[in-house]
Amino acid sequence: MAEETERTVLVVEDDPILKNLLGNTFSGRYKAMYAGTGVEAIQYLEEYKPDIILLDLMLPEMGGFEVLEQIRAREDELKNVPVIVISNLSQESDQEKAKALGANDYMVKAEVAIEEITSKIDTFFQEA
Amino acid sequence: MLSILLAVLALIIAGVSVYFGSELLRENILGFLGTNTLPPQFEQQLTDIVVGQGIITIATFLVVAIFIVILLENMVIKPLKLLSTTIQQFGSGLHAVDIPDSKGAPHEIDHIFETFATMAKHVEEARSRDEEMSRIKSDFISTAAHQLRTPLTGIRWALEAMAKEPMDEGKKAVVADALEKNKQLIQIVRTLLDVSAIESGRYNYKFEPTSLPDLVTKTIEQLQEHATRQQVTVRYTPPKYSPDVKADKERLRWVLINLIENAIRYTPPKGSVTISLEPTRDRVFISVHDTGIGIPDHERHNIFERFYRGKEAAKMQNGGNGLGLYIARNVVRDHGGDLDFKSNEAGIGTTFFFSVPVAT
Repeated sequence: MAEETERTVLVVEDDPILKNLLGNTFSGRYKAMYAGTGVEAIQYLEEYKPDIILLDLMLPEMGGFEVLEQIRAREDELKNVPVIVISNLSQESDQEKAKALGANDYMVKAEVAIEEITSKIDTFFQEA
Repeated sequence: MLSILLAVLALIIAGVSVYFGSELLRENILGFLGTNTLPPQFEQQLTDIVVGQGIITIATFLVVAIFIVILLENMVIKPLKLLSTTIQQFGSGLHAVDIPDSKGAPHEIDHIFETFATMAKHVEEARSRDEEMSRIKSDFISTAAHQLRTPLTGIRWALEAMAKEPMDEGKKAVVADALEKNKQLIQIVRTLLDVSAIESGRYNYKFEPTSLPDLVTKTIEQLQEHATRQQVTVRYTPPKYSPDVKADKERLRWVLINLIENAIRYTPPKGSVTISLEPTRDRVFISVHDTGIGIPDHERHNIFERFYRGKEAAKMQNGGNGLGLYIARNVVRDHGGDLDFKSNEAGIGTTFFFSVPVAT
């Protein structure tokens, strides 16, 4: 149990309410960090070296696609951090683009229960 | 080609008229002189005159013919060829093309050029308007998805969090109801976005060999709970052998879910829904039969319309939104089939059926 709280999740989400709701669910399970913009996401990635990233797509300053692109183009070990895209964009083209850019998974925000997100994260941690 | 033909034709006409002309002349002279034969020197002279005249006539004909041919070639055939090439170019891309210069062409030809230029301009405008509309629609889909879903997500997650808190049964039921209604809204947003995507041609199909029996089995499993709740029995016997079909798995599953869910939805308790697969050499036929409320004949043509709900169906508050069959038919058509149904007068049940091609 103690080991599990060590895991760091970087949540990239610009909507404060959704951020809080995720935060409440994650508290006690993971160490969660929050970035509200794409630029912050990159900054926190370097600073906290998270074990997994939950990435929204429509973000201020720098969009999620570009964040993803930048992560996968890195030359350090952070390049391979698992990224779960969680966005309300549901068009096939968006999902394909995200996968092509290296997203490990794609969830349509409104269509998943919050518990599905945590179990998805846990699955990644178990595999790691 | 046409020019050469015309020239040859002119030559033949000239030759034939000279020949008959000379014969006529000879007979007239003989008649005038009242004899049957001419002295040899006259005969010789006559031949010379006839041959000389003949050559001049043929030469004149030839010159005139060549002149006409050149004129025709330059004034009509060339511009028409040019126009035809331009039309071909335009037809292949519908992009703006340079309309060739028709200077020197007769008024009629010039008019054809002008008419084509006007038409091309209209088509080009319509095409770019179409592209613009499609872009706006796509932007709308993204915006709507974001603007509508973000608050719906917040409500959903908040209610889910609340549902985990200890509270009395009454409150629990209220939260569960709110959550249910919230999910209905989310579903409606999804369906609306699907409709927009279909209409702007943004559905990218991934056709692959697909096992229908597997797909049907999985779909039924997914809907079993719904059926049990409605006290409807779902019957399905997979065929012994069914070839793989050429289908987009996700989309086809969507069609099956919609048809079976509808069948369950409109079937009263103790009724049944029967799914059958009938493979033939080229296609596999799928039918979903229910013992539900049926579809009256006068509604036959409307039920595939967007947002249309049958009169009886609309009375039932069961989550139908009038879009399922519209999308389903579109998806089936994109698979190279058509979705149709048979129904007896209300009360006896309905069968929806369609077919998909066997994968090659």
